[in-house]
Amino acid sequence: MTIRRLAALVAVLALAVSGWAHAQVTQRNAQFRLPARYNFRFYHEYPEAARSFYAAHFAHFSVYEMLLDEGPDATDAMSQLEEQIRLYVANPPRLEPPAEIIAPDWSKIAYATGQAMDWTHMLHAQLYDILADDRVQDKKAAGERAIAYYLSNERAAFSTRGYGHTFMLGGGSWAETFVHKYPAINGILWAYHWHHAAVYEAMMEPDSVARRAALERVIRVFHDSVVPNPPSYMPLTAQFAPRFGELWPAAAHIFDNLHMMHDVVNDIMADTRIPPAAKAGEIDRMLRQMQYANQDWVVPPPLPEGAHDHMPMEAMTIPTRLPDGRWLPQGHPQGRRPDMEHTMPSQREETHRREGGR
Amino acid sequence: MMRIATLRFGTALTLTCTSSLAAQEDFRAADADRPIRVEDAYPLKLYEWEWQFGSRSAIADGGRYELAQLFELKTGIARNVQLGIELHGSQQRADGAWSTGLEEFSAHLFYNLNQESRSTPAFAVRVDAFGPGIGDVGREDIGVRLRGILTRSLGRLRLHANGGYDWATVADGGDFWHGGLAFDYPIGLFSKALLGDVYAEFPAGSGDARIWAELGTRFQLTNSTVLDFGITSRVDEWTDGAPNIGLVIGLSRVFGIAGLTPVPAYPNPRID
Repeated sequence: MTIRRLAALVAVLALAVSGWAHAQVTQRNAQFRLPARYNFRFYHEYPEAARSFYAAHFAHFSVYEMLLDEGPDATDAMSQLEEQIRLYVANPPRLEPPAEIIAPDWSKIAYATGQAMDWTHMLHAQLYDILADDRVQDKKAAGERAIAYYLSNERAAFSTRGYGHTFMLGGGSWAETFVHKYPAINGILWAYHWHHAAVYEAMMEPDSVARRAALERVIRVFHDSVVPNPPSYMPLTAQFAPRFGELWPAAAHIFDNLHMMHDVVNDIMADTRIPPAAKAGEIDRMLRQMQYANQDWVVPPPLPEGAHDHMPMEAMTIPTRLPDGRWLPQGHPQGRRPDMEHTMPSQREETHRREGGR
Repeated sequence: MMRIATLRFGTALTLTCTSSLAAQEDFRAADADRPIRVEDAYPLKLYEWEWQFGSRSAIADGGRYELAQLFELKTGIARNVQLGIELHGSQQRADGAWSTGLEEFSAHLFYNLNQESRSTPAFAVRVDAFGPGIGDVGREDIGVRLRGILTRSLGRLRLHANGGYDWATVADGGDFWHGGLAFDYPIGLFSKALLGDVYAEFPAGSGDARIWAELGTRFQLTNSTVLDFGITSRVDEWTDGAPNIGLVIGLSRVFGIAGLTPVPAYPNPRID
């Protein structure tokens, strides 16, 4: 009797599961990070730099949740959120905040996009780890292995193609809604996109002493100058991290596409013309356009007339050190343009300069 | 003999967990017995491994004392599918005499059907198979448990419902239904959660229901390690003002195993 009862229950369950699997449901499909000795090396070696990104993750997902819960016109709520983000910028949390806790409702409507963002944040972290770990002899090969693993999760991986700004400027009528509506928070987010790239370039220094010095400089400049006066275009990784872009060009494009998708979601969520029920579909449509799995047949949209597919150098003068040691802030008209060699001279180069080129 | 096997198992786990580490956001995961009995509908990630060790004590009326240990190893064997094995140790004192042994060992398969959407909770099913234990407190025969699991979030609050049926021989107390309701809520955003549940077992034949109420916390100690702590009480034994109160404490750690994680060759993807 017991065995019959068990068999009947299992059969009913199997039928239910089978039917469910064929229904239109979103599955979780979560995948673990690539196991490696270098994991968390960046976090342990350079905790201030590692933690400095956590406010950005909080900011991205908080903006989505707020625009979903409060609606596209959420000026007052967004001002309060901006204050909270600035607090985290100044005092980042010890551990990375999970997206599903920051944006529980948004995760329900755009789970696949949130998962792709988280998966790409994982690649971000692993490439930082590889660059931070001097036990890794062949960094290029280790990075390519991490990228290959990342791309093997095709549904969560962003394209390796260099789409530049095409989708965020030409992907739909919603383009640039967020930057015009909420320029202050948008500025913080673009400052963080600069920060990601600048940290990569600092990590390209050949030894830990030089890396630490470069990172300290990046973080100082980020807080003193870039956040108060952020770039007026979304920075692209290779523009600010040319050595990184040369080492792993596919990763540079992946991160640009991730950052572009962050902007696209901001725009869709902030656009009053898109009804709430249509936002999830539009986000999914854009995700499919930017997925690695679909990159061989996707044709990126043309840019609007006069738009750039990269950040024009004149759009962001970089923090510039004066002879007396003071800094001209980001965007100062007399500042230099963002050529990385001048923005981020290595400690060795600085020493060389200090010693008069001897 | 058992002690040697346990030591070897523990050593293997220690070696495994220190050989490769990986991140988790596990502080809010409602895992069965860590520290509450009700669990959430989400399994481990593909290629993710986790070990956890926990202890549960209970002091009952009449000098009865129970101490139970759980040792679990589980992994995401496929997308949305988790496989795990557990060892349950137990020491019990009644009438001044101690009984000790391996209460049972078990293996489970857990399948998550869906990610929660705005209209649909997350559902999962779990099947456990139990084997006989060793010693006076050991289980006599094999048993099977079938459980349905539901998770629904309301903002940051998550609610969980578990319900199912246990098949057991008369020697092990007979069949029973089980079910429970639980919640978890993150304290802040980053590393702590509060969890609570009410869980009950109802004999399929005659007999009284056993009911527990539990409250606990989970702390993300590091990127990979979680400490859980809670109190538990047998509500049905609150007789004559002598509540049966117990403590639960546990530690879990996630990791990956490089040799078991397939990595394709670098595809030289297009970068145009």
